[in-house]
Amino acid sequence: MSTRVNDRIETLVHFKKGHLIPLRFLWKNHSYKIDSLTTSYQTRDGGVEHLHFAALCQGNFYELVFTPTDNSWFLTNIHTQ
Amino acid sequence: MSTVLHIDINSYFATMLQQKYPSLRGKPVGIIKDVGRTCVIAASKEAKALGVITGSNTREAKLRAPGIILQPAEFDLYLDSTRRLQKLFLSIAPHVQIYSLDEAFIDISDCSLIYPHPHRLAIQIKLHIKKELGEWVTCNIGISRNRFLAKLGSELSPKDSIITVDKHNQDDFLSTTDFKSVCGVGYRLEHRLHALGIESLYALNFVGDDFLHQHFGPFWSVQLRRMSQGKEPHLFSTIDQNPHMKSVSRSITGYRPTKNQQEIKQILYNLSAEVIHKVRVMDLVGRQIYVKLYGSRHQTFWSNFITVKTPINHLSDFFEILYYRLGTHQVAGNFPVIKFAVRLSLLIPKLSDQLLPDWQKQERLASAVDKLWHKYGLFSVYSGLLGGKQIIKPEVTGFFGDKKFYFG
Repeated sequence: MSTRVNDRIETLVHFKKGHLIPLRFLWKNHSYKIDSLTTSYQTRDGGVEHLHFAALCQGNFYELVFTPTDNSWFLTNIHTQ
Repeated sequence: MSTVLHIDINSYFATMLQQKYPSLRGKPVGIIKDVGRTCVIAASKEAKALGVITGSNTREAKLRAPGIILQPAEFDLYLDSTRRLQKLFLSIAPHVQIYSLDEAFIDISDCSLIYPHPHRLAIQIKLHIKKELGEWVTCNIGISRNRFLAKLGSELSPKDSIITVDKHNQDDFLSTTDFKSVCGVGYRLEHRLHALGIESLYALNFVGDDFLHQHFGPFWSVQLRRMSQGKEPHLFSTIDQNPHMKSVSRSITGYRPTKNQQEIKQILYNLSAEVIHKVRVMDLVGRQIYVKLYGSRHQTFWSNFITVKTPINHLSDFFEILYYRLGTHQVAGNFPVIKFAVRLSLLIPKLSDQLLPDWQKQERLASAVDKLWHKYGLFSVYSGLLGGKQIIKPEVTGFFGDKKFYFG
């Protein structure tokens, strides 16, 4: 089941060789450890860049979006098995 | 000695979604343009194995593959992945051509000292692609002395393989290839060749030049002869020669047919805005304006075009011609329209500005919109004509006809 959300989250990130790798995020007072990232990609709408991450956490799937211009992280989609 | 690699990502649209959503892996997946659409625009390896083909409708697809999962395409993901592939390929050799969204040529002829074993390089490329795009992503790599044979090789080899086409096996390839698999040979040409009893490229070597000339004319007789000998046909040289796009078009199929004049006008204006934006970003101007409306009934359509003397690149000029001078406003509402297409062609680089005050006023307005779109995103400001309507935004296609817009 897929649920569209658009909630601001806090994210723990590892910067590695010019790449940004989210490790854990905090949503609704619950901390989610990211087991693996299945894909990441970048979109640009005018001058605004967004980095999209598809993350697996304990069998569920979460889509995170980072906007470097304001350093904001959003949880946009949740897919539960 | 030339060496070209052709890289073709297997079932790109579906594979990238299987990479993103692990629950789709190993399952038949049909890609549709959006939720509610009924045309399968791409299929996963598993769906293809069950007989689902690109272009089939979802009802047919479900009959062939009862468990098929229909998933909306994610064009942003595809476009960014192609950009990453281009970056990866350019780190290997300087001569890279992105041929379509999921295909590219790498010419390593000048790098033979760095890459003395092309097959080993191909193995490395496959590993790099997995590292860049994900472990589920596979590709075919064809290696040969030119693009035509490299592409033929990669298209005919099994999924996730590397194939070298050289002088020893070239004839085997040319004799076992049906014309459907040959890049540049369309349905009608294939039909004419079959009617003459010619079933493969290799078979063309057994007919004379005069025979080919007599049946296929001066252009195709030469192209067919070149292909039968494993040489690149004209199609590939056009990629090298065309310094800019010749036309920019945009079409969209609606969710339902409409006879509503205002809705038809809004959709055409929206598509026109995208076409003009792309033309302006590439600093081009065009002289031929084309419009086509497809009816919901089979083979019902209306189209018209005009070639104007003065090249245009302003939305107001383009839409005025497209909607009023071509008579679209008189046709809109006469029959239910399901698909809309607009095009600006006979494009040339913009060389100078016009001096007419009206033109300069329009140019100032268009430049201001360009700047706002560049900074805040496409359609961040738009005409009141589109008010209250959901904006249709640009999307890439598999063929990647507007690659010069995206990749310069």
